[in-house]
Amino acid sequence: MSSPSDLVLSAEGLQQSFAVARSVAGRTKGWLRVLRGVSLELARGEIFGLAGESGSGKSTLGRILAGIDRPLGGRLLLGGRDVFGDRLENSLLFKRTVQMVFQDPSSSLNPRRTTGQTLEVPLQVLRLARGQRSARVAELLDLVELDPRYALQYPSTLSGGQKQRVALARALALNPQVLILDEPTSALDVSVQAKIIKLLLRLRSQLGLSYVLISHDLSLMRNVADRTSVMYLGRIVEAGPTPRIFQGPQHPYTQMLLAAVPTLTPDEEALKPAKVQPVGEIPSPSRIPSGCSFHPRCPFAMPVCSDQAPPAVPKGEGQFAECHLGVPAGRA
Amino acid sequence: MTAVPTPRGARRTGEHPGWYRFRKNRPALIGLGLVLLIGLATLLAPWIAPYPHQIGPFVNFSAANQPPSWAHLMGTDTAGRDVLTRVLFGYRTSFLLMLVVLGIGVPLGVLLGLAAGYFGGWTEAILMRLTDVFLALPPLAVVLAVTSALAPSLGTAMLALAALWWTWYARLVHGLVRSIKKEDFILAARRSGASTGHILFREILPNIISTIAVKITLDAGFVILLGAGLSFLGLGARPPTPDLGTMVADGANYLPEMWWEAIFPGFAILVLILGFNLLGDGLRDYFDVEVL
Amino acid sequence: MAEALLELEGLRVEFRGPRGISRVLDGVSLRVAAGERVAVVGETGCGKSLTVLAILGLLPQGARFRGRLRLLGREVPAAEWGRSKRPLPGVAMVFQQPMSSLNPVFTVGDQLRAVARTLPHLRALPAPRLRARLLEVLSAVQLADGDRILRSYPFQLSGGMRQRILIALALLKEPKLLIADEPGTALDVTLQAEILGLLDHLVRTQQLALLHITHNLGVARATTDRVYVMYAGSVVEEAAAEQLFSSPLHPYTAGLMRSVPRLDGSGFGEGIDGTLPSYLEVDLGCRFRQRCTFRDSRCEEKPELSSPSPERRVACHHWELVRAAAALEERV
Repeated sequence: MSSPSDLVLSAEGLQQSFAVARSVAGRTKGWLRVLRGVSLELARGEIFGLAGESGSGKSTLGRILAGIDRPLGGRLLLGGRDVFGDRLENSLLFKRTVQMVFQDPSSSLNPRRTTGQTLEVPLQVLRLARGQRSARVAELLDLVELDPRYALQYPSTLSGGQKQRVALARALALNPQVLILDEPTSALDVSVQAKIIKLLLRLRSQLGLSYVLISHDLSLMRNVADRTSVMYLGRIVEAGPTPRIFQGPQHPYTQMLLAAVPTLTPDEEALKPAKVQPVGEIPSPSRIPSGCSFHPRCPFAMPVCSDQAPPAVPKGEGQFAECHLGVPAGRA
Repeated sequence: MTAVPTPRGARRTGEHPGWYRFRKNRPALIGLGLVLLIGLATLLAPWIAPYPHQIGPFVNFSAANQPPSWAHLMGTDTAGRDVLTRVLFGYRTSFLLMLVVLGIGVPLGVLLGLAAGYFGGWTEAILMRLTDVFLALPPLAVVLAVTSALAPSLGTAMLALAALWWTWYARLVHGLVRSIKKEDFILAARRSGASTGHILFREILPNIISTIAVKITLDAGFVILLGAGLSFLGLGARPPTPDLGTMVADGANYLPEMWWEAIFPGFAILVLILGFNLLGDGLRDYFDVEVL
Repeated sequence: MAEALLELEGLRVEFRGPRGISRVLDGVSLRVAAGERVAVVGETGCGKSLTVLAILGLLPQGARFRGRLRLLGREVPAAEWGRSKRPLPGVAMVFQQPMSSLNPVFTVGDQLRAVARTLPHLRALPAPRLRARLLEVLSAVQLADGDRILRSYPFQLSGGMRQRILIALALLKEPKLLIADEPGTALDVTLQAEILGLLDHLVRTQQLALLHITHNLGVARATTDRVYVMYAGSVVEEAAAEQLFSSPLHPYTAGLMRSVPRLDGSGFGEGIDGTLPSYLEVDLGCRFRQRCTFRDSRCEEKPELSSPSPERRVACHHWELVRAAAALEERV
């Protein structure tokens, strides 16, 4: 594990709920419990993977980590300070530390503004002179491997991959230490994805960045993330070093996810847990099952699973899983 | 399903796709032609009108009520003034009215719409309820009330129309902003440290300006028509200022014998409004936007 | 080889636009035998969806097409496909968007009955027998509790159930060929695996052939017997699934496969440089050559589909080199 001085960002017990349709009287009819106590620690230079299906809360978590939404409970800590408690989420300090890259570059770039105009916005905040700004724009484009002449082009004339590079350059303009990458390549073709991922890996080592990589693509996660967390219904149900998660998944949900991954070769096929067939769908966060929230879909469900939420059971080398199966007898 | 592939790279050699749609829309080209032609004629009225000196307080009863002829292509009115000359100068009044009404109403409406749509909450509630109140008033009745309460003049009519017109733009812009502000690029700009002013005027406004332009073009004809209607009722331009609405009203007394005195000014209004409407439709195609 | 169910030959589709004529499909030929599972794979803009639209008679306004289509050995006149707006007998389509393809204000039963009323073999059926038939197709798509489902509105059902209902709708037409355009791309991996499993089950139990359009190579491998790879409006490679994924012969296929991240953590390649060429340019050479590492002077001439082995076809002058290079890479 990393020493405390290496921590760049950490979260403790984050909770988030959204009100469902209100009645005529203005009362909330129910709550979508999207995050139910999520804690994580991001070390310097690390790629922290957040995997899960839609409805798992991974994007909601990403928005909180990026300072976009305030959580209902829990803390986000940056350099020992409570970001939301001290109202730092909109401060320049926070924006210069944590930036976000959105999923679809077609909607995260203003269609009426050229690349150069888009990249100049953060530079104006830094109060750079005009000449310095255009030099920095060229530098940023160079950083994401785009020709400086792209500064004059509108998003409509760029390919998907080029647009995502521009979005990345914008996120880098304030020299952040952390990038929250929300499905950064899922809107792109696979041949382009490979290029963007290689670029992200190069930038990490060149600039000493840390990433929180949010993705539903487990194969991508396997090859990119240093540590992987699997989310289900607003909780991290299993986490650990990436190779351990993929070679020895302990939580039945992780096993189910892995079994469902489409693969290209028989070698990869052999890595998939065979005994867990994909069953059912993730329930709505407005009706979270009692006990272990995965128990209705779990092939190994026991009576205890519907009564009690399982504890996080350490599996060694920083891996843990929230599952009653791994609880030593006599403790449950 | 993946979309039909859009050709890339050919952008430099080919023409703008909007212009292509516009060019294919023949009525829009006619509209553009009409508006340009009338606009030019209006600008050059003092030089191209056959009898520009007849614009002020001028009477020549010996030449009164002459039917169209080579000397007077649209005939003369009861004061012996050349109708064509007065139509050309009448257009000036129409354009002036349109420019003032939209010149005040549009910026005001756009600003209020931007504020209401972007800030939401109480700002939105108050501004939009105010807009609803104004929209609920029948425009002609309000203008009638205002102009008859104050002295009826072109200035009063213009102000009264402007005071009503902003509501349409406030509502249009409010709706557009509400949907655009949810886009990721607004969020991304904010996370990059952009100020509210920057987001409103540099990020949002450029995305809605084309819709506003289309609405203005479609509105221009309507404003001119309302202005002419007010003059027709004696609540707009005062004589001897040449005005198409006044001319129709005066000429109508001599229908059907001296038909040219009312028909030509009336036709002049019709052609200009038609031009603006056709052009507005074409612009809608050009920008590929939806306008109510 | 089994009897051909559907044979498409030399399909060419052109659009006249502001910048001239774009030829977006150029000589696409494909063949589906009875009971066969065929995939068409390719990235955004390669023309795979357009090919299907042509077969279904749903080409957009203004498209000009040329080519021959044979269904069950019978030549289909040009007026009955392409832009005909009428479905071919025996061919049914499963659409991709389970949310937007169902009308939210009618019950599932209403919508199934509305479709049944347009079908000659179901139109005259008395209500009780039609109902029995509806329950039958629902159980065919493994939806238990058919009575309740018929009375439900789409919003009361989960995404997976809606996708199953769309498949049931297609089955009502008693097709010989089911066309599925990216089934499951809007879904999560566990659900996608289930839907693909269901399609597979239907092919076996209902004597269906499946034409599967997808951008996901892993999905294509898991669910098909034979694969067509499309690039820039043409088929560039055709092979049995196992052959294709063990030894791709076209540089584009090979590049795509190298771009896919692998579940075993063996990393992934550099992606493919460059972007799709413009469909406006008349190009007499190989459409892939600007992005190809094997490019030489022969590539200025368009390669025809050649047959390295009886069941395989590839449109590349250098397929032997590609195979040799892949073998070399394997050894290293």
